[in-house]
Amino acid sequence: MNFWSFFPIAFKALFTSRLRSFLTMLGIVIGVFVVITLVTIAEGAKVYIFEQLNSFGMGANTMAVYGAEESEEGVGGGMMTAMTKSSITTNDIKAIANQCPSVSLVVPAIYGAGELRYGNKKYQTSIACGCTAGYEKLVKNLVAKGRFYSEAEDDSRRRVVFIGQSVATELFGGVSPLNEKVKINGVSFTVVGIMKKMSSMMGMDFNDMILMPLNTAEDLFDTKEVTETWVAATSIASVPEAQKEIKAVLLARHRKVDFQIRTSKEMLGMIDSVMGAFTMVVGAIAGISLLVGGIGIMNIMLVAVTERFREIGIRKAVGAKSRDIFFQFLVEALIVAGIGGAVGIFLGAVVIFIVSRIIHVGLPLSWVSVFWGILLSGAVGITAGVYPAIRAANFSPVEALRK
Amino acid sequence: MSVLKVEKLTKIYDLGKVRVDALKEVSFEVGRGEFVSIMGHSGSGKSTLLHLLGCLDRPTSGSIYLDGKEVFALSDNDLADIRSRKIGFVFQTFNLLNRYTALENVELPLVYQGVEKEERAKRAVKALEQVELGNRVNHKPVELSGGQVQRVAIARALITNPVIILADEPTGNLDSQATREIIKIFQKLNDAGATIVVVTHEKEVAQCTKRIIYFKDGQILSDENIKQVVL
Repeated sequence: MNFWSFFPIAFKALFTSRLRSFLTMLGIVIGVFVVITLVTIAEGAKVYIFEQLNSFGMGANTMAVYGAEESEEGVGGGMMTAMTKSSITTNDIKAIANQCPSVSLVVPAIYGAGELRYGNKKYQTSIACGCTAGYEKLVKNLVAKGRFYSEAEDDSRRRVVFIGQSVATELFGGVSPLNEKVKINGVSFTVVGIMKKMSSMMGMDFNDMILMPLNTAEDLFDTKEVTETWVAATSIASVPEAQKEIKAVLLARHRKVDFQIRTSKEMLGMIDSVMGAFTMVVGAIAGISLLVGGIGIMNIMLVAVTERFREIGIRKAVGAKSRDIFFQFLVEALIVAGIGGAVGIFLGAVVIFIVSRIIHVGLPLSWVSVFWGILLSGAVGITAGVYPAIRAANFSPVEALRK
Repeated sequence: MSVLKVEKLTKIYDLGKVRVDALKEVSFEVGRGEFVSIMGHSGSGKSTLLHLLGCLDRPTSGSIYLDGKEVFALSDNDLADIRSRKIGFVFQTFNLLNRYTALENVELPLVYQGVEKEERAKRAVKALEQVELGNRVNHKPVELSGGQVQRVAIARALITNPVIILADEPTGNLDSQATREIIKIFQKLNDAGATIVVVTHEKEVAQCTKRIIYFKDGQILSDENIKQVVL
């Protein structure tokens, strides 16, 4: 008998015990479904975060400088500490801009809280940021309407503001905000432009942000401490050199390491390692589901062998060889695993499609996970099917007929 | 030349503390076209003999020559081939696969010979017609009477044109009318040249064959040709 001729026999046997076959299959369906969805979502989340970082200007040649000591809290921790007390001042920024040849752009930023008023409407923004006009060069296609403020406006401490999409909608409703007067913490500002639509990242909604010139922000928030500074190196290759130069300048000025320099590569690396660990964990969960599914198949196949002693005896009595019986049971296990795997992949694809629609984030089906889904369900089918198949094949015909 | 030659066939079941001598150096021959019944009380060794004749089990010692070939010198795979090509089995409990139709049950031995589907179906229909079930090909065993089910089993035994048909109490589960039907079919097949060995404990069935070998305690007590009762 050739291998393919076992398929009709196996299908018939599985179809006869439809409910049992379905329940056996369910273990594999769930296992493969979990592999596909979790791995795709983990992969998608990673790609999404990288894309978001890039859209906020964190290109591969950029880095961020925080006026806080190295802490165990990582990237976010540095910024949070610098929000309350930062060692970097606007004079440090000027020194970096003047003394670091590998640095092409320095954009210092001050963060504060801002309550906006327009007419009788109020809006509390979560991020009121004062930064230099260079920010426009850092973020691609930043302006949706109007314009970004200029260097001259920064130098002359003009009260102009560039607002996020949520602020524009919530505060102004149908009215165009451009050139409208708005009060921030009681001080009157003119709206000069609206930011492109940004996605939220790590719980922060960047559409909720307002940007104003750095010098204006110093006056408004009454501080000279720079919370965060974005720096662009002249090229990706010159990032390490730029990092060294900035460190040397700040060390000369502060006489101690009370600052952090995080390259976007480092930040991406950290996110990558966190996401990698996340993917590993979900992979392990999925692996356990598949293992349980495999044990389910083996269990049911062993029961099937015991229940079908007589059938094995009949088949052997009419000429079936041991290998014929072996392949019949193995193919049954393979079909269960194969169909289970296919259904799992299909359901996974459907759920991923629905989830991506709900969260408005493109989650391309991870072909690596599909590959693993197919490979694992096949491996589970073979592994779970081999032992029962060997048992079935090894019965002597007379022994099987007597049972 | 004999179709079947049994030489000093011995089968001992060693069950640890208990040793059962099921067959003790049994020897006999069955010629081509013979219709033999093997009789004996329960435990006389007749079913053990049939299992050995059918290559379903191996003896402790002794030989069986089927169509001139010593079968127990062969590997398990070759024995499976012998069962498939040279032996047709009919069992007391029918031993059909309930999820298969009559046609699918009958063609089963050909599946393991690698015969193509169309050819299998053609030959299965012919075998079912031989046992007068040409109009029941698509019925499953549960949809047939006991006699009809046993006729399907006989058709399955016939489909490979075996050199010998072995029947183990083929009428044991049937009423008298179905028993007569089955015996008639065996007689018709024998008249057409088939060699048949039937294990039975029913005297009426044995009398319809041409030779009775009587077993007692694993040995042949008597072996004689008889005047066949033709139904």
